[in-house]
Amino acid sequence: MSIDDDIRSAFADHDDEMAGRAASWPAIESGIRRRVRRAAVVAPAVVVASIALLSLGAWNLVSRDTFQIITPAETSDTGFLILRQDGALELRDASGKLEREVLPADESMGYRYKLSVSRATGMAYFAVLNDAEDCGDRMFSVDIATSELREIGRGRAPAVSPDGRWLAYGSFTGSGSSAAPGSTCRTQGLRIDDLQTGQSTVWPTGSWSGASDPTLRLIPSLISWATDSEHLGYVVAEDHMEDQGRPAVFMTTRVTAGSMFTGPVPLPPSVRAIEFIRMVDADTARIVVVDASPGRRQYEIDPREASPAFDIRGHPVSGYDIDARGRWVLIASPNETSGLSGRVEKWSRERGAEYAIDLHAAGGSFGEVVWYD
Amino acid sequence: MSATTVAGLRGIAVPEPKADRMERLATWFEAEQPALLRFAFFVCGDRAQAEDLVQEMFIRTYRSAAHVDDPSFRAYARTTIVNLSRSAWRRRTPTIAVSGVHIDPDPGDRDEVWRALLQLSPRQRACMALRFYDGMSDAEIAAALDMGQGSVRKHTGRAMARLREILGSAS
Repeated sequence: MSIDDDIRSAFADHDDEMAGRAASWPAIESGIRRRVRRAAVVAPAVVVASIALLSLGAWNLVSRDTFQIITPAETSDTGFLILRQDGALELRDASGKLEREVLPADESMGYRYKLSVSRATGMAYFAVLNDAEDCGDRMFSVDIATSELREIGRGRAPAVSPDGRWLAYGSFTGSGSSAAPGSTCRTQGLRIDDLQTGQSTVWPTGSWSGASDPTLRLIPSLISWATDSEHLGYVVAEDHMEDQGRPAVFMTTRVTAGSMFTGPVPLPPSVRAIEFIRMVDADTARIVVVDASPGRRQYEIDPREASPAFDIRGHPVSGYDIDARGRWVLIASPNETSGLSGRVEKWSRERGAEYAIDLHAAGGSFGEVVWYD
Repeated sequence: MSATTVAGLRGIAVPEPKADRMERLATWFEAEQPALLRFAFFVCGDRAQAEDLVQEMFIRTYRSAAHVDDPSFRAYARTTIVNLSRSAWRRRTPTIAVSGVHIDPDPGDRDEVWRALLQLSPRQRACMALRFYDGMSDAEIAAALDMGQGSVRKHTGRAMARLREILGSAS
């Protein structure tokens, strides 16, 4: 007998336990009456008390994110930005239709990666890889409306906060490659620039135990902000560091510069390399981690209680983003067979790929993708 | 809202529940009570608490009773039962295992699988009851409990893992 049969039998054996028993309708009526009367008294009292407190200045109402309730039948109407493998940056509407090319492809500039966008300011950020030097990656901003491109400094994995004020990235000093003789390249750690005041904070990350120079720091290679622009998560030792041990995900706040939890976020044992992370929201401290290992599982993890969620069914993934309300996921998939086209899918986090959109690129594969209102 | 006055409060309107809403809720109560009591018992595992849960559920759902004929109202009622049970479950007295001795919550009940089911959370038990007693699919459970199919799979998967763990360690 299987466990399924045992469970069926257990419920069937106990399904007459309530026979002859009944809830009391008079008790229900009485309860409803009490509730109706209490509501008539309590609701106005709360309003009066709130107005009184506000007028006394006893508390301040701070703005909060409003979370629109989306019914299961409704899809997000948010557009998105795509960074193609050839470097072109495209703005597309919710149906996937091309609205405008923000930046043309320019492979002479170098490989563009780690696209991040501020919905508040309309600015997109990305890095340009320098294969020759560890310390050579450059970061750029582009105004989505005007296509104005600006170099903002050196660093890796730029991530702008949702309010557009903070830029987090893996930073380094000097030049050259860290392992090369005479190199002055040093990783500083996680750096956060205040784009309004120009002030910066650098948080040291852990050391790389396998490096010839023990002062070298592990560089944050994947960074994600929560919607409150205060909490953020980052990864050190992603896939290329796999031989140095498992990747580690940390969650922290820009305010206290301290880890929210003791040590890294607990990861499922199967995770050996990480493709993407995304903070879901700060209140619940949940983070989505996409495993880059074969099988490409996606986990939603609460650091206080590891809780794996749905998987992404073996798709090759090159881009991944969760919308501001935490309900919809965009996944960009390169077409690894032909190299000529790719796919973008829109997923419901609750229900999987039921509402996936199929979008094929002509003459180039999709790389990274982010929501953009 | 209808209103009456009561002795000692002359001139002050005291709100009363709407008569038509109460009537519809009472009719629905007669028809659905046995199934809801059974569901509540499956969720909490206690006869007296199951009655309390169903009573409290009806009190809480009065405001929505105008929609009692809507097919989704049954899901709303079930969800309310599960949520009320979760609140009670969080306040429960924790079971303490002393030196590996298993404390049986109901010494008269020797059904090992049933006892294992009682160790699951209310939401997990609700998913298991709908799947294994009512024979519902993930999509039907999702509709019945007003949650996503992904959540249903998550709760069911965790429940099965927990059951295997409990039953495995018991054998």
